[in-house]
Amino acid sequence: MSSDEEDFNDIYGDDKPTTTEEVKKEEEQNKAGSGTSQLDQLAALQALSSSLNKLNNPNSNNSSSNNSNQDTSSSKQDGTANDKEGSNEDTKNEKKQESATSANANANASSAGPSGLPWEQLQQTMSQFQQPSSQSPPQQQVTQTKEERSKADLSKESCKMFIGGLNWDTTEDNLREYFGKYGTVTDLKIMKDPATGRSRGFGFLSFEKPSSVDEVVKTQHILDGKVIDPKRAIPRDEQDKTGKIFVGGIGPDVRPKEFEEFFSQWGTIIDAQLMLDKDTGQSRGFGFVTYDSADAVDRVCQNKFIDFKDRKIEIKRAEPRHMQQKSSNNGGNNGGNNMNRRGGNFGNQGDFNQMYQNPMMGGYNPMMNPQAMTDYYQKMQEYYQQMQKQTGMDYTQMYQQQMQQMAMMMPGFAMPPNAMTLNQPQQDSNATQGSPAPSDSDNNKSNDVQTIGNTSNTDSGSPPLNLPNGPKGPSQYNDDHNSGYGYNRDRGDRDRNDRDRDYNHRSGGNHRRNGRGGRGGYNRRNNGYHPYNR
Amino acid sequence: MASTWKPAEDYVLQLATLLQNCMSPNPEIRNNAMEAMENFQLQPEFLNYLCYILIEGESDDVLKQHYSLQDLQNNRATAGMLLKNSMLGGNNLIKSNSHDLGYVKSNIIHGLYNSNNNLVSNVTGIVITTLFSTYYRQHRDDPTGLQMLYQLLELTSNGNEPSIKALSKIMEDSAQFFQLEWSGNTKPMEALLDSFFRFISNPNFSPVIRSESVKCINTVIPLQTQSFIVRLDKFLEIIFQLAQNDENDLVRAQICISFSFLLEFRPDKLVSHLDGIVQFMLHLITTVNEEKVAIEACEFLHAFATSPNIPEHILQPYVKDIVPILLSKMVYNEESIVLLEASNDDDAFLEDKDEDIKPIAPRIVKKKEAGNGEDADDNEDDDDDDDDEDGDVDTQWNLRKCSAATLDVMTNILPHQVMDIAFPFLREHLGSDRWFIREATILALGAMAEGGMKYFNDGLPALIPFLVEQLNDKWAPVRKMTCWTLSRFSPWILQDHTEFLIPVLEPIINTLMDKKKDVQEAAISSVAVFIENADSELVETLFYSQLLTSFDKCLKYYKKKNLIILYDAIGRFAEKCALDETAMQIILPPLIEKWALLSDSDKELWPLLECLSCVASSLGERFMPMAPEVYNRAFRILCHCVELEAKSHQDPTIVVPEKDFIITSLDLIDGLVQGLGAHSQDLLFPQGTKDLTILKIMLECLQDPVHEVRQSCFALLGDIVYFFNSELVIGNLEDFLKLIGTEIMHNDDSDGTPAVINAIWALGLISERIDLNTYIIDMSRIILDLFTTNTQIVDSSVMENLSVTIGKMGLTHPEVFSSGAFANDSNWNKWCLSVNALDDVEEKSSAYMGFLKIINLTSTEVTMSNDTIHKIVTGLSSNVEANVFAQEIYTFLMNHSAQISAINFTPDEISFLQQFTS
Repeated sequence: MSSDEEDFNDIYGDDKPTTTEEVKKEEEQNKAGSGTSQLDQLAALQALSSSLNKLNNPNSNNSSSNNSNQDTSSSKQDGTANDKEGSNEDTKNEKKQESATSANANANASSAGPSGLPWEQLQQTMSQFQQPSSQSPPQQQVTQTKEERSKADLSKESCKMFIGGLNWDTTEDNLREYFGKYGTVTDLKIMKDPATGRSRGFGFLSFEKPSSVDEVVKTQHILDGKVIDPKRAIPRDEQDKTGKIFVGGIGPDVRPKEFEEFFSQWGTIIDAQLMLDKDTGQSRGFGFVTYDSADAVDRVCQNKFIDFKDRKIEIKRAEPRHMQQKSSNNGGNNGGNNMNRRGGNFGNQGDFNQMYQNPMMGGYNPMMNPQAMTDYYQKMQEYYQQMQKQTGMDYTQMYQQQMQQMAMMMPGFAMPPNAMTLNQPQQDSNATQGSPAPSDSDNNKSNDVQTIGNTSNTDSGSPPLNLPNGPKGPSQYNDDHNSGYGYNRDRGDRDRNDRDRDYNHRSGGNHRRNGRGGRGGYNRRNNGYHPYNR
Repeated sequence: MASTWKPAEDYVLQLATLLQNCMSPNPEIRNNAMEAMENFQLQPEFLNYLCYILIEGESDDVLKQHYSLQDLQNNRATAGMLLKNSMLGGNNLIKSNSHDLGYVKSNIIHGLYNSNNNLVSNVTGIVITTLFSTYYRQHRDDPTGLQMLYQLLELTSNGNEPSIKALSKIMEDSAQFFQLEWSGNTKPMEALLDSFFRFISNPNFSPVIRSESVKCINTVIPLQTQSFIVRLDKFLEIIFQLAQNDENDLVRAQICISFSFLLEFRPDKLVSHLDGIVQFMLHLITTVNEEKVAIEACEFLHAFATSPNIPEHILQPYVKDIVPILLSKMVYNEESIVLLEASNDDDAFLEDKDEDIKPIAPRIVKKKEAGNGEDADDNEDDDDDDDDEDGDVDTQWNLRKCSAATLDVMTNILPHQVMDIAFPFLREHLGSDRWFIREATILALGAMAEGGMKYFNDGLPALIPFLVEQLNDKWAPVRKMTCWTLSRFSPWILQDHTEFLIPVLEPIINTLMDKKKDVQEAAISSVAVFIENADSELVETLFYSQLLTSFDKCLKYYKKKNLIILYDAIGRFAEKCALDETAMQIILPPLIEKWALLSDSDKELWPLLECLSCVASSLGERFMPMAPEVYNRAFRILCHCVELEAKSHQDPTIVVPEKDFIITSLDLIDGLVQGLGAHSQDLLFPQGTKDLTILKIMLECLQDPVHEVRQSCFALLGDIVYFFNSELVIGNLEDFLKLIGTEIMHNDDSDGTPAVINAIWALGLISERIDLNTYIIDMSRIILDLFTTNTQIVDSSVMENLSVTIGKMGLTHPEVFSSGAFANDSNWNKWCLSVNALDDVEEKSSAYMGFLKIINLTSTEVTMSNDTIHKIVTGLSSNVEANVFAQEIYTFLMNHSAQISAINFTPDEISFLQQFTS
């Protein structure tokens, strides 16, 4: 158990490698200076350990490392994986073997999608940071050359690295010495607790050349008996080149980890954020994924809907913030265009409009704005598409109910004449669609997906839901805590680069502001309009 | 005992002239008269002279020769007001006993009937009221007090209305004192009540006497005094009679108030009569012409719905009767409709008048005034009630608002029942072609939003498109109300129905540029609510640029009044999203421009300072180029205010600026420190430890009596310690610690809780970074005293901060907690309970690190319960950077390993423990 290799396997198979390692080291130190009492304590801990393991088994569903296991229950290897839980010893041995072929297994696992052994998935996640290129699914390799241009240029100016997972005994000298073999280290700092002066387990270093960084991320690193976690710091101005998508219609049972794993099949993920309900810890049905390249976004956005855990989830491109303004302008224009196009789509739209313009319909009615009503009619369709995704209920029926309800509520509102035709495919609209022409295969796929009716295609580029924009640093909400995924990865995110670190630092500040009474302020909340405040 | 005092005629004439000059439109004459009056005040007979002019002003022969009747009456009133002010005023002529009151006491009552001018008799009433509240309360054995009460009752019996008006004011101010014994061991309360009962049960008395008498009784109900309780049944009998027979509006309004009080204090007496009472109220609401009566009736319904004494099932049967009437009264009244229709034209280009802007910080201003005799002001307000109403229909409390508020609370209590009744009505009127019907329908939807949220599920998807469409209505009130109502549905949209977010928020954002200022106000408020309620991610990805460009446009477009709300919205936006370069380019220049235009003493600076504080904090280092200028100005304003404050202690003539200037500039400096972090150190301390002016200023602020000033200042102190070189503070450490200690020990005012929290929080940061050495014992004792207190209820945030601070102090000095008051299981358990809820990893980690140091140092003879061990493990297993202090955790687990194996852990906790056991 003191063999380095075994330790390594343990760690690698563990969700929280760093602390395990530290404690193990502790134990070793204890052993080394062994007094009887310490041995007694060790024995006590061993006993504790085994009782914990016993406890653990029946409850294993919730333990994070088993999450993915559950999720991929269709996997044929499932049984094996469960067996492994049975005995610590077995697991270790197996892991040892597996790790020998880890590099290959990695690539295989990733191309096979999210199924696989739990530990493999874990490796996959971990190695995303270390081996971005081997991670990509096949089609990514096809576009490899292009990708190197359009990807957030990770190498450009990026001589800076974040080093996480440091042993707290590791000194700046040790660190410099270790990384010195990859190139000249120009700057280096281990972050310390200002009160105790103790290392906080992470630091930053800069190489002279970006190529050193490339070398570093290719392999695993052990320093002072601990697997450390070097990550590329992305320069600020490169961040906008990364690509972000909005994902909607996710099932409530989806966990952040499987969410991230699922989307890693289209490219290297910089940040995946599934929005969780703060109270229940369940998915709130939407999330964001940031890839390291626009190409990955293109790939994933080829499908408007993707099957994920028995649901059609919706993918929308988020543009970088500085693009957003442009796009919202465009959105306005598109709105106009769509309006016209809709006229065509609905066939008898003309009648629909005329009905509202008919002077016989009586005096002024606020709902008599035909254009607005058409617009809403259109938007309602979108709502119901969304609702179908979330509820699985029959769209047409609900839509009609709604229309009836609206008609009842608003005198003068008539049922749209084509409400019954919603489910009829409207190939024309696909053709007139301004969005990038999808390849044949994609088109087929999307047809398969869209059980809602092809009207959804009509809307795929329309403005009312011209969703997301711009990448941002990792979220303020540390969803990972809920996932049981541990702080290690989280901290990695936080410190991936300067900007993120600053951001989180401040977010720490915000937390503190919550913790304390806050600034005095003047009575802000009393401002603003309320129709019956006293 | 009649006073024998006689005035000197020439003095009377002189004073009368002065009084008249005091009211002169010519400022020079006025100022001279005021000065002369000051001298007059020093005369011991000053009050007598004033009183003489008040009561004899029209009969004095000399005066009659010199003045017209009109002037004489005006002089009387002026003398009366001055008499009242002199009795109340800061110089406190009465308490100092320097002035003779005898003449006033025995003669003032004549003023109630010897003039046919209402103003004179009203002023006399006010003087008598003041006499009671400043003198007779304390001198109850003075027989003239009781005498005067009886005189007032006697006069009332003879039909004198000013007397009963005076009585009702006296009751309002001093009712509780009449339960006590006055001269001759008499408790006046019984006689008073009997008289009032007599007045109200005899219809021959005038309506004013009847209504004022009910009003007098209404001041007694909340006292629950014995004298009233024994008469309660009789009172009920009378009041029910009155409710049935008395059709006077003044009386009815008072009856409604009586029922509201009875509902609050004696619901048991009303329960069997509720049917009748509710019907009575509904009858009033639907039939009376006088809105004030209807408002009081509606207030009863509001009280009925919210009363903790009324269970839901009692309210429920009335829902079907009440709700339709509330809905019908939510339509603007005719007058308002005419007014609103006449003023529907665009007005966005018109500048706001200063008087249109309501005071920004009424809270703080009010506190200051409280000392200056609010009673008197109240009295005047009563008299002003008859004044004509404000032109703006939406500034007054009215039946429409009261109905909406009542519908709101009722929906919260019985959502299903209310919705069932209300929805068919709303459905019928949503599409009305009369705008005010639509507007009221939309208001009703918004009012029911909070309570009925989950019952709206079926209807909302259809309603929302309709509502959004109303944002384009040609009637501004409809657009305005729609903005508000949509914001009321923001929780529904943001939590479960994000598909509506864009279709709803985008049109509201477009409405920001409405050409009607009222609509802009509602739109920007609505946007602020959405921002406040939304996840930062949603705002950032979906609306970031759009909001920025809209804010920019609004900054250029809005006038003063809406700008204030806009600053607030921008501040919330900045708090929600981390602002970036784009924000910097778009939003910062106009803000800075506004800031440069305003003078240092302009109150519009407050919201702007607050907004800039959030923006600076959010922009972080990007704010750096602007920082020096912004800081210097904030610092200048702060210094100026603190300096004036200090000077004013010596020189009372100095007018001290509002505290908001200090608070907002402290907040802005704090925002800079938070945003710029260590980079702002050179701003605040340009010469390092050589210039510690800011700290000196802060020490002044920390002694300010206004809580908010200290709250902001402790926050700044904490951030300075957190971000800056701790050497800077060390020189003043003792002073700061003293003030922190004072704050923590004087924690009895719940309004000051945020300041206490910040003080404790700052202490935690200080002890984490600076070794407290000799102060540690004192400070730890102060902290522990509050932590372990069982004589008061400690606010949960205070407790949380106390716990974290104990942990942080334990980092360097675990020994002060490892024995003594803290070292027992119940305290540890309490500690875990408050720390485990923390979200912030950094706070929680350092708290636990220190805590485990304390625990590990504590003698093993102090046993720890399994529950506490479990809580500790629970706490450690989430939101804690355990690897930083794995050594302490390991030791802790070792020390308690025997117990640990007996505890049932959750899977998460087990996986945490496994890190230490494999």
